[in-house]
Amino acid sequence: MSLKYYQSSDFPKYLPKLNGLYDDLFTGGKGFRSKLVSFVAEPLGIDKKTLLLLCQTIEFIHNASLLHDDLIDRSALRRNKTAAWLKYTPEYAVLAGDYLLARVMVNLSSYGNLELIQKTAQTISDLLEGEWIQDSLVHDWSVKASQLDQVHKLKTGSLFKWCLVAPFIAQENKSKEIYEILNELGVILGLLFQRSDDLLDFDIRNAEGKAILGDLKSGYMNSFSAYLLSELSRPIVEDYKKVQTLDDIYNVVGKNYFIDKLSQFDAENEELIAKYNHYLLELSQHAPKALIENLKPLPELLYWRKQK
Amino acid sequence: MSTPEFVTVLKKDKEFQSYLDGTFSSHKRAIPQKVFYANTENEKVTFLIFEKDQIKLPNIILLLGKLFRVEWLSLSFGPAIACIGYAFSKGQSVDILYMGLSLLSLFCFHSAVFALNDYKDHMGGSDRVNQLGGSQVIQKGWLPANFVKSLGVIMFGMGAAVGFFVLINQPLIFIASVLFISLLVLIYSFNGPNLKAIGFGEILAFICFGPLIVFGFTSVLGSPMGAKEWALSLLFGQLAFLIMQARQLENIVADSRSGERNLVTYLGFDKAKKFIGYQLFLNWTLFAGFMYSFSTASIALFLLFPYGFYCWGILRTILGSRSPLSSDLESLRYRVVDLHVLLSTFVLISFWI
Repeated sequence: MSLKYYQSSDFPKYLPKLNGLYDDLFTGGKGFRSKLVSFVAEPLGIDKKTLLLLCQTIEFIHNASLLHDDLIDRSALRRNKTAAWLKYTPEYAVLAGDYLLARVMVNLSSYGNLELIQKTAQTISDLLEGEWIQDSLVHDWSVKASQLDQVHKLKTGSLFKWCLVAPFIAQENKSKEIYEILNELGVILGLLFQRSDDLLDFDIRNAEGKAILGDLKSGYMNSFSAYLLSELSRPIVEDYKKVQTLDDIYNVVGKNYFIDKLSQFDAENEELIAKYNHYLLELSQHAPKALIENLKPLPELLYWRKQK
Repeated sequence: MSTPEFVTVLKKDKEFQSYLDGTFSSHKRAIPQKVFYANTENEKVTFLIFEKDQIKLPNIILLLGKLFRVEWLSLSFGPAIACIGYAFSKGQSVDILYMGLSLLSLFCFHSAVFALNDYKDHMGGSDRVNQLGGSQVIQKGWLPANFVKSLGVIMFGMGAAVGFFVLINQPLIFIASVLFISLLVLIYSFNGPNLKAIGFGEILAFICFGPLIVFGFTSVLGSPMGAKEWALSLLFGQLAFLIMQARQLENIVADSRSGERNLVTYLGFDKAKKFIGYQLFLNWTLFAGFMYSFSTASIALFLLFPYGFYCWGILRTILGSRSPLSSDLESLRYRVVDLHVLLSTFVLISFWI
């Protein structure tokens, strides 16, 4: 699917730098979340105008969070380009994020589906709660993986849930049964996506050559770090805080231990994938076959990055 | 490793109960993962199914220790042993048989309450919402739910049998108190959410682990409830209250998001930390007051320092935690339970110095 969900005409031209900022922001993204929306929406027969609205909504929300995230984390780069807060100003980055969220509300209220507005508002609220809690966990080197899961369910999970549920809401399908299953699928996809992203930080299945150890150097324990350190002693955790390279990590925790833990981490995520497949089977009793076929390969794609 | 197996079962299906209590298979366990449409006629639960021999069981002592929450034993035994220690220190003659039976009954009831609570949470669905709560004995597949229930019932029976023998020789007022408190516990069990919101659970914890146990053991030892006994009741009861607050602070995010109302979710993260801080200070003050008023040797007052130091450590951790999911707050309740052990030990020492 190729859908241009962002047009420069969506934003006022009288606001200085705004369109330049959005041009930088929206080009280069993979648009996975809008693709996920279309995987669900197209088999349901959603019209193109509504599909565009849904794709635009989720990408606006996601990119708003990226604008704010980069400023909060003081990240210099986004999609291999200078982050907006650095290239323009921190104030413009904040306001540009807020403006995207405002546009979402304007567009959805024009569309007129109240349930969709409520769901979107709740999703934004969950996303912000997740961001808030995540920020409060920076430099907490003993945080547990189970606690981070709560954050990821709020942050990544809420957006993925929206992607799956929103097309059904747009169609005014009131089945609570479907919503509950889709919510579970969305949470699992969100966790798998986040965990895979966290593994990239350790150069695991890192085909895209993303910069590594960024989370660690920012003082943030991602899910794999928390998993790795969960059974290690305090002195080892103290040494871990100072690592600068992967070799340092292997020296601190032991390479065999690292490989063992990675294996266990993968096994746990395979269990999540099995759970996803189980719920997809439940969904197949309520949704078109084409939709199920679209959703089937996603966990493997998101977690294994097709490198299993 | 074999692919994990999941099954989703409607609550109204006849096989549902067998998945929940573990009787569906002799060689497999089913662990609930997620409940859909809870408390409706369409309620259904997803179970993770795995072979029993895939489970790594801990040794039996550890397993039973976890199930019966031996780490919380101080809550019941602390005040009881303090009363016994006080009786001995006064030179009071103590019926060893009665004392032993009382302690045995207390241990059995302690174990029964936690085992049956685990069973109730599992069957009622609370541990599908909070999957890290309870002893984890059922959630980890170590024991099937119906077996846990049986163990709980056996322990309750033993506690009742032994306790009845002790109870019938006690003053009527004590028997009436026990019956009244039991009724309150039952009411709380069946009307939990509404009563939790008004702090009823904390009040029950205060009464049961403070005045009730002290009153009970004082009666068994044949002494009246004097000023010292009431002071002990207040001290131990207030710490039990604090343990509940600590537990609620650990779970504030999950509780708030699921709509559970309790004192900590009402206060919010920032104010709850301060409230618990004041509680810690109050506890130290009560301990200081107790030692000053009732300790026969002034050297016992030195115990206030290590106790204060430990309280201060907990206080610093709580006030310094930036996040409701902070690792500092993880297992906070166990640190306060350790404080309870320290309190019990120091109170006992103070009787003997």
